[in-house]
Order: sequence, then structure tokens, then C-alpha cells
Amino acid sequence: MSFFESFLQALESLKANKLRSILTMLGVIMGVFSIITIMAIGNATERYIDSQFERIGANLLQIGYKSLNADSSEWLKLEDFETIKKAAPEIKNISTYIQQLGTLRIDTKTRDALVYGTTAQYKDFTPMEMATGRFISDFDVSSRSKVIVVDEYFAKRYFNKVDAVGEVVRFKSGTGANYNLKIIGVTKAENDLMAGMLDNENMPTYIYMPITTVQQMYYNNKRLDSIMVSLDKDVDYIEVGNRIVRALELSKGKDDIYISYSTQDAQKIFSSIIGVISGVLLVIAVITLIVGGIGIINILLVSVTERIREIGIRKALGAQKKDIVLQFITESIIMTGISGLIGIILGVIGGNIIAQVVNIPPAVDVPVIVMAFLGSILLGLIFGVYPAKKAADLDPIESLRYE
Amino acid sequence: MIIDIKNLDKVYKNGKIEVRALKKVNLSVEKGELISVMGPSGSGKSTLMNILGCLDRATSGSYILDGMEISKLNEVELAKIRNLKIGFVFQSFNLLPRMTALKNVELPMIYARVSAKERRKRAEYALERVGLKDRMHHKPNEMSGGQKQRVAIARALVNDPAIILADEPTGNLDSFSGEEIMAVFQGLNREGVTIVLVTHEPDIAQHTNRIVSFRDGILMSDVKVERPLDAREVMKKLRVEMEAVT
Repeated sequence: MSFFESFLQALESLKANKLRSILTMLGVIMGVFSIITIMAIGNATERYIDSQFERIGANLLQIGYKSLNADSSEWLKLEDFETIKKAAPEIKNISTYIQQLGTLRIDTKTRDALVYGTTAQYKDFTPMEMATGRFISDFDVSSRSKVIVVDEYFAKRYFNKVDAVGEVVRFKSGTGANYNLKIIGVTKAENDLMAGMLDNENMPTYIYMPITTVQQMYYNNKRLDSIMVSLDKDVDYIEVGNRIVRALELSKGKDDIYISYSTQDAQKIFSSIIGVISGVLLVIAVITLIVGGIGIINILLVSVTERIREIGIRKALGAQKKDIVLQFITESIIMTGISGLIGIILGVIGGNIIAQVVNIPPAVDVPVIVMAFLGSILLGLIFGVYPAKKAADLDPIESLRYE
Repeated sequence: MIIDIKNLDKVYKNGKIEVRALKKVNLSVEKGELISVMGPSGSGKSTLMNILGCLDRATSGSYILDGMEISKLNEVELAKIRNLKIGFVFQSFNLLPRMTALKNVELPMIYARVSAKERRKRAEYALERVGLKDRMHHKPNEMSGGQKQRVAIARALVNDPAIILADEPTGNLDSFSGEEIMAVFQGLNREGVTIVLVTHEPDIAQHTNRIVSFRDGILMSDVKVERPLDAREVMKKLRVEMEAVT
């Protein structure tokens, strides 16, 4: 019997048991669907993170403390920027930020705020874009201007317009003191994963102020949490980092108090975490697929038992073992093949929907699709062998007598 | 000679118990014969049918079918012999229920790797020979018992086998349909088809030219039927009787 003939016959017999075939196929469909979706989301997340890091600049170094309770003589301060620039003239940019909590008041409304006290260069370290106005300038920092940069959501919510530049808001710092701050710029809202969370009255809004202003508002504390340095891509960031750390330690006259770490390290950690998570999910999906495959074996065995007489007739009419094997394996392959296709289609749709919801670009690779399809065919082959062999080994005389 | 059996023995082993189903059977059938095999159940006639049909192999002895020694063939070769040299007709028809009459008749040719076009042509011709061309697109459950058996005969004929083996072909049919089937067999036999028929009904056996009887695995008698019944005549008689009743 040719493959084409057995294909037609297998289709016939699957059609004869439509509901059963569909139910059996569901298991494999689920398995393939989960695999495709998980791969798509994993890929998309990784690409998203990569792109975010790409925007920040791949070679970003942070200098921080080795110990959590560094004393004041070990504090990193704005003055240390000069030491760093001198020690590593190849750095492109240098900045820092400190975070504080405060409350903003606009007329009668209040809103919690997460305050970023930072310098003019901070803009170059983030993917931030200005919708209107300007970011903090060097002059703002040196003169401790009472200025503030808010985001688009904030401007729209409290001033009903994006261009809120020139408006004044009342700010209450953590110490209880009140200040009037002038809005100098509004950052663009990012169509992003976090967007929904940011535009929520119960969540603090993100605002930027000159770092010196914030330091003055909060107990005149000069301590910096860390210093950020950006480098050209091809620079050996480990070497530069070590050089900066040594120069800083030398200037403080202490040993072993700072460390440097790069976004590349962070990116690697992120990637490996996502890798592990998608790996675990993938294992679960593969188990689902195997369970689905066992369902197929099971139903094929039932089908063999139901068709013992048919097998006997076919053998009497001249079917050889290989014809019977081919017939059952073809049925199995058709089931897994169709399931694979449906699973792939659902997976691509599912991946796209989830990507839409969490706002990351969908990423289903053609190789993944091809692999998934070939994988399901292979699965059909593997799971079809045992029932097919069982059918082919039936004794024709007994099968013909079987009721 | 189309069938030549010499000293055929068949022993079934069931654990320690041995059953000798056939004992030193000698039988030859000429081309173009219509022969019936009779005997009560357990007489060995089914065993003989299975061996003649290449579904089973003898324990010892020789079986030559159409000039070929069957007892030395392997499983694949036996399948090919069944496909090309033997046409089976069973008591319970054994048609595949999901397929139309035409598809059922095409089945042996699928295993013989006949092209689709040729298959269709030959299947239609075979159905025409048994008088069912107008029913070829019907499924078995849309046909009467007699019609089903005629489809089965068409299926048996379609690869132009050396012999047709019919195992109680009228066993599931009323007497009129049974006569119809015997008429088909007699017609085919007149065209030169060799037919071996297993039956336990003496009336049916009387339609054949020769009757061999078995008891306890031994061939007891082998007699020529001087004046076989003509199924068409019997049908006429039955029709008259039926009209008389109604």
C-alpha cells in the first residue's frame, strides 16, 4: 500500500471517530500551544530587556559600596566625579541619582512622589525623552534651583495638558518642610510594560529634581548611593571599573570599600533568570506534550482492539505487516501533525495576545515553528509504533473470528 | 492441478495437549472445479480452509497451489499469495463497514499496488459480474445480506485469483438469497473460476460437482455429484412456492 493510500484511509478512519480524534488531539494541541507560547514570550522578554539595555547603552558601569553601612568618610559624593574623570578619561558620561519620597500638592489634590535627585547627564543614561520643556541643567544643580521635571501622565492628570512647563507645584519633603517647585519639563510617557501602573493615583509619580536641591531638602545629606559611568562599547569595562574603584579608594585612603558592576553583568543575570524560568516552563510544556502523546497511544490501542476484525480482513485480503503498521502510524502522524499545526497557530495567536497585553514585541521564530511541527510529526511516529506493531502482529485467523 | 495436497498434517499445541486437526490429508483440485468440503464442526474443515487460504501453515506435508509449494513460504510471501491467488468469501461477509461497495472491492487491489484508475475499472467490472453495478456507491449497511455477499464475491474475484475459498457463504442468508449466491458461484464456475466451498448444508453441497467429507481430521469420502442442482432452477421453484404461500 502506498503512503498516499494509507493517508487517505487513515483520514477516513479518523473522520469516522471525529469526537474521539479531536479529544485525543487536544492533549497534543495543548502541549504544542504551550511550547510555542512559552518560547514566544521568553524570546520576546529577552529581546525586550536587550532593547532596553541597548537604549541605555550597553556599557554602563555603576560604582557602589561593598558594605551596606559605610561610614561618612567612605561616602561617595558629587566631588568624587572629578577623581573618576581624572582616573578614567575615556568615560563618556557620568551621573548619579538619589531617591527620596515626598508629597506633591496641586491645588487641593495630593500625590505621593518618588523623587529622583540627579544631575543633567542622567538623561543620557535612560531612554527618557522630553515631551516638552527641558531636563535639569548643570546650572540647576550648581545653583540648587527649585525646579522639577514631571511625566506626561502627571501633567495630563493635574493640568489637563502635556505642556505644564511654568506651572508651580507645592512639594512637601520627608522632613516636613514645604517648597514651591517650578515645572521645567515634562517627560514623554512610555508606551510600556509599566505604563498602566504609573498612571495610577495610588502609585507615586516619578519626579526629577537637581540632586543638590534634594540633598538640601533632606537633611543636607551628601551621600550618593552610587555613581554611574557610561563607556564606549568596545572598552574593557572591567578594567576601567577596577581603575575607578582604586582611584576612589586611594582618594579616601581606604581599601576595599567600593565595587563596580556593569549593565552587561545585569543583562546576563536577567537573561539567565529568564532562561531558567522559560526552561522550567518549557519542561512543563514538554511534559504536557508527552501526556498528550500517551493519550494518542491509548486511543490508538483502543482503536486497534476495535478494529481487530478489520485488521483480520485486511490481512486475509493480502495486507502485509508493513501495510498495517503504515496504516496505524499514518493515523498517529496525522493526529499529531494536525494537532501540531493547530497548536502552532494557537501559540502564535496566544503569544501575540500576551505580547499585546504586556506591550512587548511578539517573537515567534520560524525555526521554532518548523521545529514544533517536525517535533509533532516525530511524536506521532514514536507514539504510533507500539499500537501499530500490536495491530500488525495480530493473527489473521483469530482476528477474523473476533467478535 | 490447481491444488495438490499430500500427506498434510496439522497439530495444534495448547500447553501439553496436542490436537491433531488434520491427519494425512491428500486432496487435489483441478482448475475449473466447483467443489464443496463438508463435515460437522471439529471435523477439520475450517483448519483445511485456513491452510488452503494461506492464513495458516501445515505442520507437515506439502501443499502446492497453482504450481507453488506453499509450506516453504514466509509471512510476506504468504500475504502476497493471499492477495493475488486466493479470493475469500466469508460467512459473515466481512466487508469494511465504513467503505462503499466499490471501495471494499478495490481493497485487495490497493495491497496489490494497482493504480487508482485501473482499480476503479476492475472493481466496477467485478461488481457488474455479480449484478451489483447499480449499488456500488452503497455502504454495506444499506444492502441486504445477499447483496453484501455478492460484494464480497466481487472482492474475491477482483485480483483474478487461482481459487475462490468460500467458508459457509450461505450460512447467514435465507434460502432464496442462498440460492442467489450459489447461482453467482455456478455462473462464475462456468466462466472457468475454480471454487472451493465449505458448508455443512447438504442442499448447498448438492450444487457443486464434487463433495469431500471430513470427520475427525480425516478425509472420509470424495464423491462426484452426478447431477448438481442448478441454482437458477431452484430459485424458480422457490419463487413459485413463495407465491403459493402468499
